[in-house]
Amino acid sequence: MNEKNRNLLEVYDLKKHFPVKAGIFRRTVGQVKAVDGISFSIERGKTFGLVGESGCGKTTAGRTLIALYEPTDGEMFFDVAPEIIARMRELERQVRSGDLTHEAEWRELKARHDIYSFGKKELRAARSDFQMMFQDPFGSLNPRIPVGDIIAEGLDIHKVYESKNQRKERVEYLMEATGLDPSYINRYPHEFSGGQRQRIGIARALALEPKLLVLDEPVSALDVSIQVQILELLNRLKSELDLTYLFIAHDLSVVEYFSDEVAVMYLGRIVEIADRTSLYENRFHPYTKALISAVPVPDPETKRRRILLEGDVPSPINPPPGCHFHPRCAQCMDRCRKEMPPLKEIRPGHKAACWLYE
Amino acid sequence: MADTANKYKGKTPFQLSLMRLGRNRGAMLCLAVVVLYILMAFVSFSDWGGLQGKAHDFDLDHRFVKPFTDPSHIFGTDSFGRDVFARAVIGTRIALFLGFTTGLIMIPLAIVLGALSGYYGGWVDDIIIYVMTVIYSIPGLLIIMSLVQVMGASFLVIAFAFGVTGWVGLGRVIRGAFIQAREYEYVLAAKNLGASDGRIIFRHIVPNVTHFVIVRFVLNFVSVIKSEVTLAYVGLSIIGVPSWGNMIDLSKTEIMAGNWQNMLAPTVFMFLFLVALNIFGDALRDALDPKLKNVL
Repeated sequence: MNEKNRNLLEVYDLKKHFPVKAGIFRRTVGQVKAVDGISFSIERGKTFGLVGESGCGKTTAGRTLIALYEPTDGEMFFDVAPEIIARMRELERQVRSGDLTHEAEWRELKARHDIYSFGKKELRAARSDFQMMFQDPFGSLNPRIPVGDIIAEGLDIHKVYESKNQRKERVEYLMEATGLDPSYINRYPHEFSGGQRQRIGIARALALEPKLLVLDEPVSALDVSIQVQILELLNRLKSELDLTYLFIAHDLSVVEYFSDEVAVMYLGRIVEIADRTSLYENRFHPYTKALISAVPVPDPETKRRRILLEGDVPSPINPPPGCHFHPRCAQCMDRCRKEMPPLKEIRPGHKAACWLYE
Repeated sequence: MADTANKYKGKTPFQLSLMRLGRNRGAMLCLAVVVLYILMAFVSFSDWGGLQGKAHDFDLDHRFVKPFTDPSHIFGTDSFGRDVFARAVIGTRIALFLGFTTGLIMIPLAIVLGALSGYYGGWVDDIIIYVMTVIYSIPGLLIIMSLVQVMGASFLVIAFAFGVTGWVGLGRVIRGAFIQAREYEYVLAAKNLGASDGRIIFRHIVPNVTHFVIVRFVLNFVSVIKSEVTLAYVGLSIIGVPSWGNMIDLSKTEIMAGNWQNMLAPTVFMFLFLVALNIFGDALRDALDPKLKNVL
């Protein structure tokens, strides 16, 4: 397989459970299963969209993915040759089924290639490859540090420049590339608007020349006119700098505009995953149908059949048995209340987790 | 309009706070009083105007001079004929020494332990919180008194005793601020760029707690001076050195006979200093509070 088309990132069975503690002895009385076993891969140079309602775990998924939160379980391979991943999956199956002949080899490979098995120091060094851009334009910049230093933070940490001048040139280049006036280098975050602050966030994330950028709702806090500017900027940077994006959002029209492949999350799990056109045209899962039917169409003449979902997202501490979506699903069957549907390929490249397509 | 806008360009939020503080006349007046006290503490080492002699030498012909009757003893004299004004001036030195030293012991302790506890959580937090709770649950004066008993009465020991009991409150506040800040997006961003824990704590989070620290440092003077008075009153301060506490302690035997000189001088000195310090501390807190940015 050639370098260009191989997956930049593959993640298997990622889980993040937060313990719920209570009582004087702080006993763990339950788990919030914010992310409960998600697997996907992102092809180099593509944009992978992750959508879902608020509280479905998409932000936690993004943060756990790049190890900002310590994952409860899971494996992440970043820029690893597919043969090695295949070998590791094979060995893992053997070890899990009780055959320990290759356990040492498996452990060694895991320590070398699985990001979540890295030591603290290795992880810190590896982090420059995957950066994140945050949702809140106000909370994501330290108000007490001038923007030049905010952007150069990564450069300072990894000592990637030889002289002060080189550092300054790099910062000015980044500011220009993200559409900021380099003469603002010594200004403070409170002197910038929301859109400009998001540009600063992009510049900071790009400073270390990452391969993957996790965009955590990058435009949801901005005015619509500014949203387009930021998305255009991200699109331009992607082709110029050969980036790959994981795009987390709740706005389906933005995701459709921006992503190549889309995964729909519900209560910590992926319920449907497909390339953009297939997902928006076919939408197998009832939840996806409801979500897409809620996207407003800017035409007052169109008659839309809006699928209304009843109730709220159930508590992730105590999710409903069987399919998590069944209490709100119009097509709920007996089976849905008892068994969790697996994520199955319904058409080539289009997977959904629903018993309707059995 | 353009001029006002320019005035604020490229200024750090801290500089803006200081500008706001500078516009607050009352606060500046109080600052002047505080500076005056600091100068007075230095002057008390000299023998300016026969200060040392007036404060220490017995003059049994002029015992119990009432305040405001003799221009050479404005606040009067005590049972040995010593000038209480001069003694109160020398007492300033001890009050300020205690305030500063206590702050310098207390603040690093509170920042380091509060930061560790709030940032790392888990068992580190459990241990530190346990220590805090233990210290907090014993009356502070009891710890101070036992420390002074064991280690001997010197002002350094007293400052140390105040320091180890005083950090708990500030440590809790800092711990809380760290728990909150740990989840700030810019802290996560720094972590994601590969920043070490030390860099995150000191570059990104500690600046968020400086205003607590400054205010606590100022208000600490108030409690230390009060505690020193209490300590002297129960006889656990240093005898023979004129501190405000000692003077008030001496006055307890004289006051029933109508001699209130020893009470007057330290009370007036303390009152002025603490009022000025309190108002200045409040103004400082308001100026450093980013939420009040547009009000002042």
